[in-house]
Amino acid sequence: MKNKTVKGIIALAVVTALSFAVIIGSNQLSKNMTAGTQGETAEITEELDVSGTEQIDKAAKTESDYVVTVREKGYGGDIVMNVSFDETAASVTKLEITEQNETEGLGSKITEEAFLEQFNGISAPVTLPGTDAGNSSAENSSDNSAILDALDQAKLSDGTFTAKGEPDSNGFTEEVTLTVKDGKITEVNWDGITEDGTKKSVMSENGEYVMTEDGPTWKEQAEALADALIENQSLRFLTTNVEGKTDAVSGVSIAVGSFISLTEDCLAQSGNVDLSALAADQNEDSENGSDTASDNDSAIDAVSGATVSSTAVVNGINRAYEFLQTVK
Amino acid sequence: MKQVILPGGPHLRTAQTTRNMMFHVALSLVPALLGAIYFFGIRALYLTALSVAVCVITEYLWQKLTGKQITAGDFSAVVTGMLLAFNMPIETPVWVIVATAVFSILFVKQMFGGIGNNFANPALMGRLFAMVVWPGTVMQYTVPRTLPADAVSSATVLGTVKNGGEAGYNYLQMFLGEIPGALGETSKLLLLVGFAYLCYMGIVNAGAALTYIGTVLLLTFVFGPTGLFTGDILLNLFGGGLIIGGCYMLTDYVFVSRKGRILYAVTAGIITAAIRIFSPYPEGICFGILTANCLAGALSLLYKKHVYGTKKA
Repeated sequence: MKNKTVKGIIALAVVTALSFAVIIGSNQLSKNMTAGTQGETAEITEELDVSGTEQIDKAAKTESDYVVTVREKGYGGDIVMNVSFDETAASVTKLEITEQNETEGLGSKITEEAFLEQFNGISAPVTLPGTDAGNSSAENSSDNSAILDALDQAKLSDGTFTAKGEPDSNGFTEEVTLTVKDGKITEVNWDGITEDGTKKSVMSENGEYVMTEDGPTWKEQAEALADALIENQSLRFLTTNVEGKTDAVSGVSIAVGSFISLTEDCLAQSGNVDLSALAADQNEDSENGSDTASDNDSAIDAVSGATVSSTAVVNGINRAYEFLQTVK
Repeated sequence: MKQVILPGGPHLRTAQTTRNMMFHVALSLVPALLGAIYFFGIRALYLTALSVAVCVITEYLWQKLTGKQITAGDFSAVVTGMLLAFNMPIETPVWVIVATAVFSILFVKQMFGGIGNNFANPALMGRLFAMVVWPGTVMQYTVPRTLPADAVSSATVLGTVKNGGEAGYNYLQMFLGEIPGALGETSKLLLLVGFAYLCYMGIVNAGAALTYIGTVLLLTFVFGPTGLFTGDILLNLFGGGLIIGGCYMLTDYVFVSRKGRILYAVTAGIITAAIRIFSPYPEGICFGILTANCLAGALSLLYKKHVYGTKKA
């Protein structure tokens, strides 16, 4: 028995060692093979000088393209990426994320093929709709970001401001009341009021105005929105989709369009901003927006719920692009 | 008069004590452990050591507190701890491992009376527990660090294919273990080396494992994803946890008679295959074997029990 045990253990050790030899050998072999094939297509012909640049770790010119390694601050630390450009250094051919510490399941999705493949063949600089990323000049700005910029920059004066909308098809007149104290938004109330003075918030509490059977009531959602606005001190966080709904506040599934416009109105009163002038500017923008539309070929979709990570990637690409323009 | 309390049978002494057997099982898992360290880094060793330590300590404390015979040193808790860690991905937080190990030993093994009396495989129940309570953490697999990877985390090969993706790895890589997955399950080669050792030492009988694996492969081949007889046998064999399941999880429970064992293995195989074919879960190993564990009692009604002292039927 003892003898058999010893024999068995020795055999186990030997076979394990052999197995590892096979595993490591196969790994080396496949590495050499991929290195070989990559070497043929991407022979580095020139290392570009990156001294004096910030956040660019490495840049190289190869026979057919440029590869720039750039470092950009993400949500959970630095995101390091290899950006490949075509031979004219005008469009991105490939994006690789080599290092990241983004939130698992959210920001970490920037490493997924669905996100990365958007960059294959895209012309730089790249933009991310709904954020500032890539929008270096105001003329690229879309939506109401001009208004948001103006409101964010405006100095809010203290007081309570109210804005009312037009009665909607259900007879509700939406109303936002916003209180500013010491230049900060301290209280926000959003409600709809019928002609006879009944409040939408009260009706939703009593179950007369039902959103979904078991979801949060209209009042709860309106309050969640108001709280989020106070926390952010800006409407910028509240991005909407085509249906006028938002993913920015969890649990909120009601249309937030009127909330945004009425709050903008209140903030404009407080900050003394002329909204109509801005709106006119914007119309002008969208009128000569044919080139804006062509710019949108370079617009990519952010990873849902991970704006910071997506923005960092876009900024990194644009940084790499700008760097190439200076050295090319 | 002092009452003599006998521990659970069998009472015939042979060189094959539980301790001895479990020691060999633990030893046979060492190649896969080394593989885990090679593929995923030294954290694999820490996690496994932690899981083993928590299992043994939990067993010891329970037996001490309840005044039972202390069998914490019999290596069975070591094996449970190793298998438990082998079923977790490398990024699993430490506290998930601790909680799962305590759950496995305390609620699955000891509360049912300890080794031999537990109704299901503690390590598998532990995995199920972790899967249900922390699905995000224990199903987030990592690509081996030996690969020049651009992606950090990924589904298992089976999971990717199930969701309509390309496997992305060849069969050799799957067999050798260079694929994303839980710590100890990726290298089929190293698991088989350990299993061969157990067979050589006469500790396990390969029949149940082969029957189980064969059943799953046959059924997944016949009822393939794109019609009859279109299943990918090698993918099903090497892409997931079938080998660790068949070789190490299933055999935790063995019927005395050969027929019973085969019946049990086929049942587990059918359920596993059904889950792989019909459910959104890519693996099914865990559910298949655990369901068969629970059905063991019912299955034993289906065949005549082995009667000791008679000639082999």
